[in-house]
Amino acid sequence: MRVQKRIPWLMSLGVVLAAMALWGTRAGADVTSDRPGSVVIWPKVIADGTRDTIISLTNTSNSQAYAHCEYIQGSGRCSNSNNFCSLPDGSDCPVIPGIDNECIITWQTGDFDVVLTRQQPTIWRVSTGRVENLLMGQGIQCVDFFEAGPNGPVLRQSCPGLFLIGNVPPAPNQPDDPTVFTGGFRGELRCFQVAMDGSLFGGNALKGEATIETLGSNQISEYNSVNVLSDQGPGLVDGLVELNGVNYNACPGAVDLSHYAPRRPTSPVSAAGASDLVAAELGAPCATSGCGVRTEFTLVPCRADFVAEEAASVSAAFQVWDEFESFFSREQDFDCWASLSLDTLGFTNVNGATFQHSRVTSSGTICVAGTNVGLRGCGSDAACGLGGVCGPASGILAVLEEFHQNDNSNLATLAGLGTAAANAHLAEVNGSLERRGRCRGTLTLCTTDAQCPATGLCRKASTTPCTTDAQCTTAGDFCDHCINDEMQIDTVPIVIP
Amino acid sequence: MLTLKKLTLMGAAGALSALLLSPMAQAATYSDAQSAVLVWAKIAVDDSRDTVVQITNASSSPAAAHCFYVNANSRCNNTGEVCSTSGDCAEGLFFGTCLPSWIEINFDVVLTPEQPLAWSAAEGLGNGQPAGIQYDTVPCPGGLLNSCPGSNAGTRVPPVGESPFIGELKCIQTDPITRLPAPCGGAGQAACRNDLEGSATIETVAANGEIDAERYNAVGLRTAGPNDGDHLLVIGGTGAEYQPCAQVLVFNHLFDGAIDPISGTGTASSELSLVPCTENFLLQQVPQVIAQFLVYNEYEQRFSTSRLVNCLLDSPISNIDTSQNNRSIFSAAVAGTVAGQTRITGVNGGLIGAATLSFSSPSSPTAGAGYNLNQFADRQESDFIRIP
Repeated sequence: MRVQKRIPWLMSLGVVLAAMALWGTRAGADVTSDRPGSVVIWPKVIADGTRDTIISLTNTSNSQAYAHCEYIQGSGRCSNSNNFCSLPDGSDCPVIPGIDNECIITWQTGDFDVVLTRQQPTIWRVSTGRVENLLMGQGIQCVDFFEAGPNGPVLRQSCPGLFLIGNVPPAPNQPDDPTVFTGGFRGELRCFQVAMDGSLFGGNALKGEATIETLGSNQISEYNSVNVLSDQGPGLVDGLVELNGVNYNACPGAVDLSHYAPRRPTSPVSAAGASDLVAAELGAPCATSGCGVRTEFTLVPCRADFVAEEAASVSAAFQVWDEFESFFSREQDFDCWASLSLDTLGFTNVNGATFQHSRVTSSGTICVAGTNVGLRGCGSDAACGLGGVCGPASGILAVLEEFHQNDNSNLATLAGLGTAAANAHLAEVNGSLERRGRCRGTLTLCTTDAQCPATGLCRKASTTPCTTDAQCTTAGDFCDHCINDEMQIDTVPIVIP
Repeated sequence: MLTLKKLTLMGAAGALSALLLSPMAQAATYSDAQSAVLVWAKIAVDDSRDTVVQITNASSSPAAAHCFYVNANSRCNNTGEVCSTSGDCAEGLFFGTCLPSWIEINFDVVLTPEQPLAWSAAEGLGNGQPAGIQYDTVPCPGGLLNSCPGSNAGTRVPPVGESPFIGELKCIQTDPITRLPAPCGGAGQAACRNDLEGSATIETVAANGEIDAERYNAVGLRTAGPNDGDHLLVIGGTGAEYQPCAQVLVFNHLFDGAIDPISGTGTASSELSLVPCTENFLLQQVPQVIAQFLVYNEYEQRFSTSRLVNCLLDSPISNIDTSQNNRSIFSAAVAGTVAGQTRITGVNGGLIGAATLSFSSPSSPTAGAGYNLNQFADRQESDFIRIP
């Protein structure tokens, strides 16, 4: 008779290892600014002739890491005054009597790749990018040089260190001739951790910072990138980042920002905002300016489609509380990217508060596919036209930046202004930091596919019912159940020169 | 045929594969989410510098916090005066020794729903005092003076104990009566709350009046499990009431002495502040935590050093390992690149930190920025905060 010999320790090992594997994953997903992730987002990147930005990107893992990155020119230009603007309705463009001054927003992108060795940090300057220089030895500074461009010399930069990819280009809309500056970049940067073949890779190895500097001064603002952690990794669709709390973390339900209030009624007219709490005591000249502090929110949608090159539209709801418990609110639509202050939105400070607490939420529905893509407030797929898919409006990510004024500073040129940036806080909505999606078809709120009808609909063959992805046979198609934010990139192999 | 042995081996192999392929355990301190405990790792006050501390109740219910300033000034053992080196401890012909010190004071803050509140560390925040300087009183003092639906009554923030001051601030969400965390999360009890958000802005004014503001978010500890509401806060590990501190802090920086890639003239200088996760405010004890630093430059070259964190480590990074900055492994001249990554591990305890970067040049006032460190992996052992 054969006797099966049991090996108790082996069974225990299996149990322990399984437990460790499960312990290593996180439930209750959320994006974060203080842990490495698989998607890294810098919401505010400036290279516009007045300010420039140093991007820092680090591989925190012990393996080589690859990243596919996309610059997004988010800011628009006022049609008749050439000011930067963010709001589609043009309300942040200067009023010119008798002339329509619209905000023209074009979603211009520029992509590149980065390769990082294990634990490698790297930096580059946004206006110049970075070029590998094998002849450059170790040193304490980067070196500028001019490179021939199609329209003249282009300012580039090399820095000491390994830079395997060889070249990161300048951000879009940089001048070819640095003596004639006509363009400028204000927008965001996103980097996606990928494998060498360009496919998404949920390694959670990447983190970054952005340091925004006012040219001609040492004034800098620094904030952490917002990082999206991968849980189970990318799904079956090439290049699709599903921010659903299963494949990748979901975006937050709301973002919180605490900041100086707009100008108080008793402050000087030229004050940029409520007065700095300590500047006068420290000896700053505040007689005419009140040492006001202006706060800018920079908001970006979670959703992004770099394949179709479509900007996400957002309906942002602003809720503002001051320290006297007064409450204010309004809604504002924006496309792609917005950088604006509360007074641009029409908020005032009737109570004379010094500080306010703002919460920005995105809710409602929007057409995420179809001939009416971008249509807000859809109630069904049919409202989105041919191939239409009605889903949740995009979530929002944010950073804030303060500008500290004194009597000698210039708000228009930023000369003499102190600057400081900070990451927004993730706010709980219905007890969760994670944003809920909406069921395909019924549009009811959901956090998992199981909360939606068992029969969903294919995304591309949008009228085809399905229960599994395999039933959606069109190339790149999948079965929608609980729809949340998504990002889509091209998967192109990384080429190391 | 699959035998039990084969199945068990397969299961073990599968689990091992899942472990290797799964995302690494992520540390659970937050500088960007509502929390139940907030830590401001650097509060600085002196003749030219002040810190604006800001705390917000992010919930629609009132919230209270029991807060602790930790004064980490070093002191002369002969005069008791604040010092930075023993050279500051002259008394006649003799010199004393400059020793680390740890003095704690605590106070309460009561917040109305969704309320932001801020104060100057140098001046504090009174309650019912006549308004003198712009922000001397709480916004909602209660009683006849109150114009708000709710009240900040019970709030009284003292100024920091002395100037110069270097230290930290910890605020714990508590029951306003008991000044202890409210029991929660157990059977029949309310869910534990994470209502607090915070930041600090360290401000300096240059000779030409230009304001330098360095802002960072307070690091938060969110609730993790049932809380028995006693004097001992268990952070991570077995019986955790709060999520664990990080096993590794990830600090990206420019090496000291590196030249600003944008201006081409500014010289970089970074400062790092570290405080222990574990603190005993009841017995006034702080464990001595060894911080191990692994420093990587852009050539993948690695350096390392260690430093004792005795209550608070607040140092230019190129003084962490030496008093001669240009010989430091954190110096660009030694590291050989502009940018670096430093991984910080606490031995015998967890660490929480914040950092600043500044540029200085002959043509413009020195200015800088504050930012938060990243975290990686959970500490397996518990940290503790014991409060009176």
